[in-house]
Amino acid sequence: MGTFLIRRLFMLIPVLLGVLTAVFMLIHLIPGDPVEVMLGEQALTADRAQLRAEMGLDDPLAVQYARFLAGAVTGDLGTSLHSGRPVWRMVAERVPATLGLTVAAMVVAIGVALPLGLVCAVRAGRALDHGAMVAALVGVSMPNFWLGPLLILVFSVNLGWLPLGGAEEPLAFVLPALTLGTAMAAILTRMVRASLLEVMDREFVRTAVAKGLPRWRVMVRHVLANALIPVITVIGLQFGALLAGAIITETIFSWPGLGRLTVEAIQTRDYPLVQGCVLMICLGYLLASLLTDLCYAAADPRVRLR
Amino acid sequence: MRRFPAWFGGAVCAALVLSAALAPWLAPADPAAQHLALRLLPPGAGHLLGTDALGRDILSRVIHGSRVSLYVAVVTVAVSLAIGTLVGSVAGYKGGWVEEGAMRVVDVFLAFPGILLAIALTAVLGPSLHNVILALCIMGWVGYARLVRGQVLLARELAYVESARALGCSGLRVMGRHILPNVFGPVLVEATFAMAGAIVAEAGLSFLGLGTQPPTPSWGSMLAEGRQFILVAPHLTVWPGVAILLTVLGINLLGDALRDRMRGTGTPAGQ
Repeated sequence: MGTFLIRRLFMLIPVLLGVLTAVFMLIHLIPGDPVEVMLGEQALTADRAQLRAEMGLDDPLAVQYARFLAGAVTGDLGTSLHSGRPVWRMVAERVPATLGLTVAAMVVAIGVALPLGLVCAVRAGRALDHGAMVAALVGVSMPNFWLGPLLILVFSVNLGWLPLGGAEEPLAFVLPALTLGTAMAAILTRMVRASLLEVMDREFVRTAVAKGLPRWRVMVRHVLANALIPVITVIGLQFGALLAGAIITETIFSWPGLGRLTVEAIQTRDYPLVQGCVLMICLGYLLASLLTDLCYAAADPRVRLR
Repeated sequence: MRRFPAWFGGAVCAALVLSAALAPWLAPADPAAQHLALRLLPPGAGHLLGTDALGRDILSRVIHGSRVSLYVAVVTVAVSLAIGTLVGSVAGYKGGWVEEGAMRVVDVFLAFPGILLAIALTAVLGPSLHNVILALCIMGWVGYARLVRGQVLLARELAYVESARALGCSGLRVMGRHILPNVFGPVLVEATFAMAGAIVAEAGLSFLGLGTQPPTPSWGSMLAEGRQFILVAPHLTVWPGVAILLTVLGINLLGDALRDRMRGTGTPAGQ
């Protein structure tokens, strides 16, 4: 397992370097003069010169790149153009809220998908299975920027059960977590069902049944243990989709997380902050991918030998 | 009954194409015409789906919105497919450092989760429909490159490809005549799902104010406008969302049916 971890970490280095390069290039993709875009056309020449000097935009590109890489490694991503605070600190302050929301969405998704996928697989071809699969397909197709306002309309405006937004009370988690977790729940339900059906058809399961083992024991010990291995990968990959989806969900529910900070930074053209947010979300995604691979390797020894 | 999902998907896609092509004739009113005296009207006889905050007919805007969605989906998928197929086929066929280099670039793009790269790119390039398409293409080619490379790696070892090479066919001919036509099935399925993805992505970016700009009607920007009036006029939020849901559902069903057909099974989606 140690060798696998080292190999996996080694493979991460070029990807990380690529991500840092892409994030660095963001400011240089701005059409025209980035300083003019950030400060506006009415900005004084002195202010422009000051910002240009502060951001080191007059230096050769290679020097800027080296400085950006060094800063990223030491946690210095510059300062926000609007608040004047260090970008790294602003980003770090918002991480817990996004992480909390993402974990809550995953709990919703896994909590729905595992039992529903199991029931669908056991009762494949029956009315419940067909109904659940139609619901899953609708869930996959429903964009979160529509589901969110609909949930607000029903549960906050009409029924008055849940808050409209914010993160001040535990109940405030419910609607954002449902909004963010629904698509993942739908994808996972289909995945769990398909994976279970595939494993249930294998010979070792027929052997276990022929041996006279109770049905629940066959399902738990033999079917679930094998069927959930590919599901782990999907959960890991979906974690990244949740982090990106949080940008829209947090905007809808005024959730004080990284996603909302990203949108605020875009709206105020605070590009150093945009860079910081994008970098942090990517790092979270890469970390989730790494953890997924490790879980996968722990669950299936064949992965470690590849 | 078994083929109902495929028929439904096909019908929805046909409706989308017809609605986009015939929008000026199908729409009952000019989608940009403002009538402030008729603002926020609920669905009724004069305006079947009601009016928005500027008194514009929602049905007309939904119909015209389909043009934006279809345009983004078709252009994004066509460009991404072309770039991804080129990169994936060259990487898969050549192997060695070409493949290694191409796949490391693919890995970097895959390190950006979901729509994040598109959000970041449209944020720096400026909000516009064409920048949305550019951002979605930059994000979209990666999936095809990986898929085509995998398919080419499998196909290049097959007997008929080796025979073509033994007969002296050039690399370009082997690729164009013998390999690519045989790996196109899975790519077509991927392209179908990618169209649904592009429609949702465009709507999402427009919802954030980074995509289609007013007064051009887009389902995403209509949802964003409707959100401000959700307490007094919820119908503003409902109809563009229904349009997105039905379109994406239809395309996904068609994709599922295509995939099942490629596998040679008539098994309905998800089974």
